[in-house]
Amino acid sequence: MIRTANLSKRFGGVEAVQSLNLMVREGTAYGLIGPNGAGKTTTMAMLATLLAPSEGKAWIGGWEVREHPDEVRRIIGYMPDFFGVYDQLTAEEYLAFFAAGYGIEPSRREGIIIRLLELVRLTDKRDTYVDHLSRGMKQRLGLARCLVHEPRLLILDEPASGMDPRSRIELWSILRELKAMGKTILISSHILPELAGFCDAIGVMEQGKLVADGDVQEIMNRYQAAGRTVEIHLLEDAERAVKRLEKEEGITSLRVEGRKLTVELEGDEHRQAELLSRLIAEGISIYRFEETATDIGEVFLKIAGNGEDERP
Amino acid sequence: MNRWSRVWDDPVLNKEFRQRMRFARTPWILFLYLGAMGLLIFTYMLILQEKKDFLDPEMNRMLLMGLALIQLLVLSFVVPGLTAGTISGERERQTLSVLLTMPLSSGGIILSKWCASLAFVFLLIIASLPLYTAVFLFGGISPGELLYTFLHLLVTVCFLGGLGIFFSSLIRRTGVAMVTTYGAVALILVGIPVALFLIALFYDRFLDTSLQDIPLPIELLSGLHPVITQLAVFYGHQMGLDQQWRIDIYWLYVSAYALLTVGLLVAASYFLSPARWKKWSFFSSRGSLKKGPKDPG
Repeated sequence: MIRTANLSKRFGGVEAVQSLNLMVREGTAYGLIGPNGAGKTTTMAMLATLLAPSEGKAWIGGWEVREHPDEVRRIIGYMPDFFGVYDQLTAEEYLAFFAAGYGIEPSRREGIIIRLLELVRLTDKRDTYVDHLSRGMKQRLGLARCLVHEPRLLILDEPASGMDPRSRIELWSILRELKAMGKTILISSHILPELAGFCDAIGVMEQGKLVADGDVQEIMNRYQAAGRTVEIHLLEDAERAVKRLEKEEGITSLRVEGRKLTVELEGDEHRQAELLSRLIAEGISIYRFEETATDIGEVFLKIAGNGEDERP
Repeated sequence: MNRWSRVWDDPVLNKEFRQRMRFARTPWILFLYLGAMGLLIFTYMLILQEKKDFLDPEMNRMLLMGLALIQLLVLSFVVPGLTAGTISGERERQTLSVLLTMPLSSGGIILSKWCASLAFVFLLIIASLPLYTAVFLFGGISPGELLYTFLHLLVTVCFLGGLGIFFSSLIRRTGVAMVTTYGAVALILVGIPVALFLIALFYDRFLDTSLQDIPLPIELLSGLHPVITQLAVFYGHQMGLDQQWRIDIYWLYVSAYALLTVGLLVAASYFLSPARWKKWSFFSSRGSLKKGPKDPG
């Protein structure tokens, strides 16, 4: 659905995006993560035809973005990180404005608007002035606006930023519905665990470069392979287990809290299995041995912290 | 939908109309504009009544000319205020990026914004027409003079609207765009007479002491000044336009400002978003679509 080839954008001497090669399959959700200034918003603005790339090309639904911007605009729904609304319009008029802008016949508009307001849980706000809606409601109305022309691709730049927890839950629930409907979604966010639960693939951007991309689990595995954290809960004092572990190779750190040991271990699942067998063979009583779930935020920090291209 | 239905269904035009008429200040602008115009006419007639010139057709011509000039000057202040924030305001409210992701051409957006702003100005002018009926009570005005006066006003308003939208598109901040637009209007209203004075002084001192032949730069610059050209409608003969002047400054004004308006609107559509501007799509409100994607990969 999205393909970019060496996509770059320069603002004066600053390279906001550098030779970006991205591929997003139809019907999947792709998350772009990275700190502020990483180039996520610039990338999305180029894909949404708002900025002309300095170099490289991008295709959306097969259309080259710079050569066929009108065709691209018809198949994308773009929601910027900060967007205003027309305060003097009601929610219905706001959506009708965009429906007309996308050339939808007047006879079809009302039905579309009713369905969209239902989808974003704003049916009862149909005749309310946009000015009187809460931030979360405006954000959902903005999402409905993106959907007015039934786009195949949604480009959502930090859609949950600044929302209260309840509104965020509602928004993610709507996004899940949209994903289930088969929409392709390119989304950026700082709420990384939410992205991990939602996206099929992620790309990590840092200083205009895509420093890692691929399947969420695959990326986590790749960076976990360098070291995983395992918690070992014992039925006895930690002394024997510590002595055994100190002899073990590939252990980069060991922390003892009573009968709980936190071990950072190089290698994958097989290495963990080996360690467990050895401890049991020594007769150490273990009642729990588990890898702590790696937060995608930690993975992101690890990748971004390296500051160099770590793509395989 | 046929072409006319599309014009009426133009989303930007509809939205602008709706929004503008919902502003609390809109009826106040209308009220104050008509009130000020009415007060001026009433005061003028009161003065005439006291001078016993009440039924003098020449005084009546002066009333119409005065009305036209006052309207011209008032609109020189009103129109930039209405138009200089149309695009920069969208930028400041962060609604422009969303607007630009719709398949509307930049030219279409600019034209709709321009038409919507001018529609309100025309509402002001049309609402003030009954005040002009005072002029018809006493005669002395030819239909041609009235027609020329309104054509002049129409061209001026269109140009001022184009100027406001151009600066609004070029400059990111509404405040700066508005000040620049007023600056440009002041340059025309005050700068041209100053330039005329200096040129006349130059000719008088160094080139030609006789002003029997009007120097060409003076004719050209006069043809760019709204007040001088408006005066020419009523006092062209007294100004010697039909004898000494080589150029018909009224038509120079109308054609020059009509062309300038088109130029300003095209430039505004370019500055709206240089990334999406297309040379030939200015007059199409919706972008053209091609069939079938062309992704090589």
